[in-house]
Amino acid sequence: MKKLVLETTAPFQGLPELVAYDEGLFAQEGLAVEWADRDKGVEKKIDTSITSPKGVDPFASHGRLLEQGQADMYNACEWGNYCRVQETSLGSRQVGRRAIVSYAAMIVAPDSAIYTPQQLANKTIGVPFYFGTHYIALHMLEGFLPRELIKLCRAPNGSRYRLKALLDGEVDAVTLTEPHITLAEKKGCRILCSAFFHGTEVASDRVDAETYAAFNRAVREAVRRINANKRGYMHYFIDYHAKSDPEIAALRVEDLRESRLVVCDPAPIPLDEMTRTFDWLKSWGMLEQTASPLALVDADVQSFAHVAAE
Amino acid sequence: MRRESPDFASLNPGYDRYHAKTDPEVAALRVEDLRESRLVVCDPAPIPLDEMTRTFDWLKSWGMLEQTASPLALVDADVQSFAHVAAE
Repeated sequence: MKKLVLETTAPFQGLPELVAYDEGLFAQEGLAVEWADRDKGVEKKIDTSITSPKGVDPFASHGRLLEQGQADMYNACEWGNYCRVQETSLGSRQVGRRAIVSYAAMIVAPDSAIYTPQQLANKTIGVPFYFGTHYIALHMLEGFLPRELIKLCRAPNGSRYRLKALLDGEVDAVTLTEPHITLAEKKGCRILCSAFFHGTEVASDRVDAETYAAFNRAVREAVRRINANKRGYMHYFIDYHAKSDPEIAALRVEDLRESRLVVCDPAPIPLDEMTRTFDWLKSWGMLEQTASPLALVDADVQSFAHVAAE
Repeated sequence: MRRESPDFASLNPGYDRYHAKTDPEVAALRVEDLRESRLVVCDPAPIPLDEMTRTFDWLKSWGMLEQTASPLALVDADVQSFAHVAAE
């Protein structure tokens, strides 16, 4: 068995990996997967004085343990991983898209006077910089607002913390993921807009193409099982948080929307999409030190491992 | 905290019936299939000037409203300002 240490992942961003682990699919591929808790000790507070990712540590959670040599792979949103790989000190690279296509929504409090995305002009929106719910906020709002009227501030990773900040009146809006979107709706919060987004896997140079191909074969089988019975896997969204959150524990599977769970086979990042993502990140002042997106991807591992997993 | 009625279906008997006579697939839906959070209503109100201006600029940026110089030409400000105050 080959040992592979993964940073911990929540269902909204890594359900196929969790299913592959629980159902022995990694083991069937000769992988002894271990989990490393990336969120231990991470600060969880709002800071409205921090209004851009400049100066914020891209490895606050995702990638932290890999950069310390304590994990081999992590998955996170694609935009954030371009930025993390730019800053890597260990030569880590993206090796392809993860299986889950995450769902996020822009949420306001029940008593908010804001009803549409246009009305978020100059309002304070809490997002965790370098996480998918940061970039998706920009993507969703720049269709409705001039960029200079989109006002973000630093919020913790973990939707639970952002929902609390919203309900406490610390910010005007937040982006959330499941199951906290469902919980927010139950509390009377309103969705202004929502979207799906891709993520990628980042691997250290200890992960060779054969290992990543084995990982992908296990994940592909998990994808097949989830798509064959989405209802049967929705409980993951509750169970993952239930021990530490009684309100999530009180949710029922019927409260969750299966249409918000989308998984597909992991795949290479298409070059045209990679280029547009790179250009978009640069247009927001990110990735200033990188001349080409190809420097942020291990093309050899990516191209071999996905074909080998088919 | 939740402001919706606990008996949404009985208070909104027409909510899923609007299309039912002409569309059997819609007729087959149950109220439980619909998401209450997708229904949002609020009091009618004047169009805020800042939002009106941004909407006007955005439409122009897509090549629309080419023959109009100001969004104010497209709104009856007198009726708008009187009627909403009078309805409160």
